[in-house]
Amino acid sequence: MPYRISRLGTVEIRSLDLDRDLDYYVNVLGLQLTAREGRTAYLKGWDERHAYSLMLTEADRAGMVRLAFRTVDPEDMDYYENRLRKFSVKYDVIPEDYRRGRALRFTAPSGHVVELYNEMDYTGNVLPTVNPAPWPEGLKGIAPPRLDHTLVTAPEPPKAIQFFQEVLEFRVSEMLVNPEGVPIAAWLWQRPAPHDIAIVPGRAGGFHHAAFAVDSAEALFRAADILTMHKARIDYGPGRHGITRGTTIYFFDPSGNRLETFGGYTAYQMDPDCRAIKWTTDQIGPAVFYYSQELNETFLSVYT
Amino acid sequence: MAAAGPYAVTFSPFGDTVVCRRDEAVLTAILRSGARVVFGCRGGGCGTCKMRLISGQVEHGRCSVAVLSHQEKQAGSFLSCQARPLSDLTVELAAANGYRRRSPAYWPF
Repeated sequence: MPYRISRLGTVEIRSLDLDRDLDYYVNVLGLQLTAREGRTAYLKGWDERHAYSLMLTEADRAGMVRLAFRTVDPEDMDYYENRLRKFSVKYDVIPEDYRRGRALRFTAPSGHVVELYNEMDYTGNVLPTVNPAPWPEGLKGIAPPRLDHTLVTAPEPPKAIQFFQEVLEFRVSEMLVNPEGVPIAAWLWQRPAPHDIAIVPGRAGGFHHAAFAVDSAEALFRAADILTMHKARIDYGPGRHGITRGTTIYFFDPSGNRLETFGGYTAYQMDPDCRAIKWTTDQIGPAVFYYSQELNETFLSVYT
Repeated sequence: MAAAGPYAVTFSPFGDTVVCRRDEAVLTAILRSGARVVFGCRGGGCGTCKMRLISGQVEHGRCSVAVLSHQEKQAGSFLSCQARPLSDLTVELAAANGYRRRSPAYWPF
């Protein structure tokens, strides 16, 4: 089965105070601010080649507005439109958005607004395209290279997992299975990495976190130092997940949205023949937080 | 000029009191005292640290209306991670707040 989703392209997150939170996203998290249009700011990691990956929109609450996947090819838009029809999923065609072309917009059974798009302005990363250095000097904050994945909550995880598998053709890399054999959480991929999106039990439309990649243990610990220097609220870490093997820091933005620096450098590469790894719910502790071997008070209860 | 604190925050039904500066959140004062309560994002977004005022006044700070509505504020609820005291406070702690007194293990000398 060919893969048709190149990546989690964008997430739109709500901010209780855009000026305050932009200072955090630019100077502490260290994203590149690419534009600000009214109540929305557009940001991205330094190594991302399209116009933006994070939209931050001022609102009276925290949480996620929508998430969007970028398709590999323009034809994949037609392919998915046919699948949405085949599975009788109601969708809207969004003719264009800021620096982005046509999108298909629908609501997943998890309650999240999901979009598929292919065209977005290709701006390049911050390095030259001829004879580039390996990384840019003078970046502020943690400066993750890119958005990696998101984790969302669903009131009926099996339904949401099935939707992403059947309709959008994501594959399960790992899942958490209860004693009845029912998956209550799943990590789903198309890009050859452990996950583009994951689903855990919780409220409809809940936003658990968005993760930005860090590419070394040194970068992970440097991120922890920077968060602490700025008195950011660290939720967990630096640590490691049993699921995905990735290293991690969970922390919160000033509006209370959880973010992650995800060290995919310790994770595996997916192969088309990779089959799902199972974790049993009695081992949820090491599955989520490998070193402490138990859940903290926030993982399944605190999200926006 | 109004008094600038610090203010006493007393917990019902426990009777314990912590000192809270005018410019610090009630949650910050509780954690600094060595006591523990359940809290989450510390950004006013998740609502995990919600408590209820029995007496006194707070400045609510920036809170998501999805987790602290206007009506809840009127009824005395506040998010302890954001709320700053404007007077001495008496705060009701429910089971969900998971209050724990400062443990002797915290500083056993």
